[in-house]
Order: sequence, then structure tokens, then C-alpha cells
Amino acid sequence: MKDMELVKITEENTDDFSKMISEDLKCNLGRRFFNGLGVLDHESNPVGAMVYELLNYDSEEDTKILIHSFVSEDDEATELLMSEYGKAVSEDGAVESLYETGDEKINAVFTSHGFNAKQSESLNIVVSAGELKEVAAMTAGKKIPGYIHDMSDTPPLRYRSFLKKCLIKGKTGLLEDLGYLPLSWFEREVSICSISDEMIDGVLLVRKLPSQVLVPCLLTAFGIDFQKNLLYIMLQSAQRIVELYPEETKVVIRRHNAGVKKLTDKFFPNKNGEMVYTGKREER
Amino acid sequence: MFDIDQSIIGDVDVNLAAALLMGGVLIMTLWRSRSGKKADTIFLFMVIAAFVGAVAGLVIAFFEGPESPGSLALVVSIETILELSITIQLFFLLLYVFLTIHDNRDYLIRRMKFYMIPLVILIVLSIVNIFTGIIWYYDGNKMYHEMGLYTVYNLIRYLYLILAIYQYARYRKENGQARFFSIWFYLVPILWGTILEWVTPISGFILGNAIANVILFIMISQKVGFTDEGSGFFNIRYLKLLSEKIKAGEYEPHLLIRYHLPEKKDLSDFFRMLKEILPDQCDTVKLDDTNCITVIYGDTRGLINMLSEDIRMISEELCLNIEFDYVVKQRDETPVKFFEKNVVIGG
Repeated sequence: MKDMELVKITEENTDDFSKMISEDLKCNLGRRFFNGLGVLDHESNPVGAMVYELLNYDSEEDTKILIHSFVSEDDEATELLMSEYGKAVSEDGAVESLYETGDEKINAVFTSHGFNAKQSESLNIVVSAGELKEVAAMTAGKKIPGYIHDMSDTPPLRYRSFLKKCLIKGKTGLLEDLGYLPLSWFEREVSICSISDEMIDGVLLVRKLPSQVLVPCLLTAFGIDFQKNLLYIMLQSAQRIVELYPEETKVVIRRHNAGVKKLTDKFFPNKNGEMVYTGKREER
Repeated sequence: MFDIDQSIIGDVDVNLAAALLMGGVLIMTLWRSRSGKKADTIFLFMVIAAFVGAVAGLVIAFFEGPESPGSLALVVSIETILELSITIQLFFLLLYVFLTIHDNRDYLIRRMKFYMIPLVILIVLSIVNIFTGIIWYYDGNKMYHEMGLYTVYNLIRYLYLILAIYQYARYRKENGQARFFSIWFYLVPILWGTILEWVTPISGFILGNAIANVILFIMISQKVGFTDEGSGFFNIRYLKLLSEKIKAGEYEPHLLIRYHLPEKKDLSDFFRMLKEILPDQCDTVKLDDTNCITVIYGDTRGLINMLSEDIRMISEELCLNIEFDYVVKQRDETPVKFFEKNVVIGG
């Protein structure tokens, strides 16, 4: 009888693991820093899969790894995945592994493999388009200037120039691979930018996941008016989402830094993330 | 009516020196080749305003006083021109500082209404003053007198100076030192002139202002000596200065692009397009006819992919065989070590 087989999950074979990897995550497997590991049993049925992302790989900062998903149907598959993951960590020179999960069993797997875990509030909060309507109404008195546009007609070269500015300043939001993603990857009608001297100087980039969930991925602005423009950009995006999407549409905001946390605390004071297990392991 | 009664008879020598200095700066500014930057045009307007002020200061010295020729109306007109030229010059100084550090016309346009307010107030006050003498006046002996409102008039005018300092300081805090520009060298002579005028009867402001403009011109002109005429990028002389700035911690290079340029080809279009695709936070130095480097500041590894695509794209578009490669600063390497290892100064 054939032993279990470990395979790399790529764009080509993601469908083989569709029961183990969510549709939203599957579409990330073609991305620059996303990697997938899968385990097939002796009959080539998938019995385990994990998806992780390299953080700070294109930076002088220490590389870390964020595990996005881990599913295993038996212990042998678990060991195979964790062992292969260990090799990948050392090949990529990562200094730390991180995860966030709401599943107690998965948390137990990680803690049994050297991860230190604690229960805490998830960085993600989920709001609905209906709730954004309230935010848009709260700030209804603010007139949005004419230089704030959606990105439907943004020329690619103009977008590329802005990306270079973001990369050089280390502003990549949730996207480690920002410099590799085309503008079409984002939902252009609700992604908003501010323009000055025919150049972009601020953006809110929003991605629509296959599950129809909207995810703001990057909010940043430069230049002398950056604070004012950030507010206008957010408002415009909220208004466009309200206009274009049903009230029940989910928007997932990841509070990945203090700035985003401050904003969400201001606009959604009663919103909390789910309680999840967050864990990390030193890799060196 | 409160009368400060501070009569200042213009010192011809001082005013002549100021006028000559400003004339020189004006001629040099007109003669100097344009970089195409928006700030250059504003600098020219600023110099014209300062020159007009210096000439007015010189001319008025001949017409002030009971023994001097010319009518009272003539003296008042010249003094009005002098006062307005100072105001307009300070207004242009703010615009110049703004465009030098931001190089963005839209940012300025969005602020223009606010910036125009003091100018409009001062122009209106100056016109009203001609008929009422509420700010300053000349008596029957053509002796100059300032009123209490003159201090307010001056304060409004100096708002431009304060705003220019604010803009510069804010930029420095966020982005570091601006290249070939520092407002402090401009301010010192202005302050010296103002104090001189307070404590002596000499028209110190006009002279201080002229010296400030000369210093500013020299500062701007410095860049020309470091610029390669053909490409518009820096020339090899800049490397030494750059090395000093890197050692001083002003710039931190993280990425170096080395280009090998084809010989005997017209590369002007390539250089123009290269300027467009390179980010702001970099310096490009043309080492010789076939070698050129770009030093990029900031943690820029993620840029390599995009810049490679862009450089290849413009090379193909212009049918030029441009070879290039990258050197990335290692995690354990200091910016100084990285620069010295990869760039041979004077070589």
C-alpha cells in the first residue's frame, strides 16, 4: 500500500483540496508569498492541507510566516504537514510563525508543536454595508472634493507610480505582494483614490472575495493633505459600497495596526472581533 | 493719533548696494537655464519683486527730505511701491518654499485662497493709506512717519515668512532635508536687516533682503554644478556630496540600480522616461557616457520587480539595449558600508 504523499498546493491543483481550503483562500494560492501544502492518502484523496503566507519577505525586516489555514483528518497527515512546514520555515529564513484560529482542535495541534497560544479578540471585525450607511450618514455634512475618485478609470501607469511610493515608504496594508498585484485584482468601483497634479496621492484599495465579502486591503495617503484625504477617501468608499451593494454585504476590516484600530473604534465603537486563539512560535 | 515719529532717511549707499545685488541676482536668474520646475518661475517673480523694492528704496533716498526734488505725491507713490514689493516678495517666498518642497501645483492651488487673504488685505490697506496716511505718511517736509498700524501691517506681512518656515519645518520633520535648499540661510540676513533697521536709521531690511536673495540664488545654483546637462540627472561630482550625506545619516540607500548604456546613441528620451518611472526617493548619477546608477532610499526590495519591468518596457519602446542590474543592501549591512562597497567615488 502506498504511503501518504505530500504535495504543494498550487493554482493548478487547488480544486483537489476544495473541501479543505475555503474558496476565498484558494484564490490566494497563485499569489507571490502564499504557499500551500497538501497531503494525499494512498488513494490520492486529500487528508490534510495548510496555507501560509510569508510576511516581510520583500523587506529588510525579519521574515515571519502567517498560517492562514490548517486542516488535517488524521495524525499522520498532521505530522507530515508540520514536518514539511518546519523545512519550509528554515528554507525561507523565517524567524517566527503566527496563526489565528477559532477552532480549538487546530489550536491544540499547534500548541502540541511548540506554539504558544492565548485566547484573544480577533483582529478582524465584520460590518455590513447597512452599518456603513450609518457611518456615511454620520458624516453627511462633509462635502467630498472633486479630486477624490473611484478607481474605475485609473490608468495603470498612474497606479504603478503610486505603488512605488507605497513600497518605498513600506505602506502595503494587508498585502505583502502589493507590488505584484494588478489594479484589476481590486474592486475598482469601491476602491477610491485622491489625485493631485495628475498623480495618485492616497488610496483605499478594496478586494471582493469570491464569497462576495469586501475586504479593505490598503488605506494610505501621502502629501500635505494626507489626513484630510484619508477621511474623504474612506467616506467616498463607504458611500459607494452603500450605493452598489445590498445592505447585508459583509465588509471584513482587519485591524492590523494602531491606525486602523483607532478608526474602527471611532466609526464602529460597539464592534468587537470574535474570540479566537492566536499563537506564535519562535523559529530560530 | 499715535505717531511713532521714526524718521528714516534712506541711506543711499546701503540702498545702492541692495539694488546692485538684486540687479545681479535678477540678471543671473534670467540667464540661468531653467530646470522646468514650477518653483523656478516663482523664484524669478520673487527676485523681480525684490529688485523693484531695492530700486524703489534707492530712488526714494533721493526724493525724501525738505531739500530734495520731486513732489510729495511722487515720494508717497515710490514708498507705496516699496512697501508692496516687500509684501509681494514675501508672498512669492511662501509660494517658492511650498513648490520647492512639494513640487505639486494642486496642493498650492487648494491653499491659494487662504494664502491670498493677507496679500489682498495689505494691498487694500496700502491703497487706503495713500489717501489717509493711516499706516505711514510723509509730512509737508517729505519726512517719513510710521503710525501704530504699521506694526500690524508688518505682522500681517510676516505671516508669509512664518507660513514659509512652518511649511519647511513640517516637510523636514516628515521627509528630512530638502535638496539644495534651506530656509534658515534666507532668514538670517532678513532678521539681521530687520534688527539693523530697528536700532539704526539705516534701511537694513532692504539690504538684508538682498543678501538673503543672493544666498538663496547661490544655494539653488549649487545644484547646477552637480547636474549632468545631457540627462538632467546628477553628474559624477555629486557622488562625493552624496557619500557625505549618507555618512551623515541624511540618506539611507537600500537599493542600487546599475545601468550600462549603449554607446553613440541618443539617450535623451530614455533619460526622460526613466525620470518618470523612478520613485521620488532616489538619486540618479550619470557616471560617464556608458554608466549610470540610481541610488534608492527606503526599504525597497519590493520595488525591484516593478522597476525591472518598467526599465525593460522603456528600453524596448525606444529600441535601446539597456543592460541593468541591482544590488540590494543586506540585512546586516549598514547603508554607509553598502554604498562604499558598491560605488567607487572618483573612480
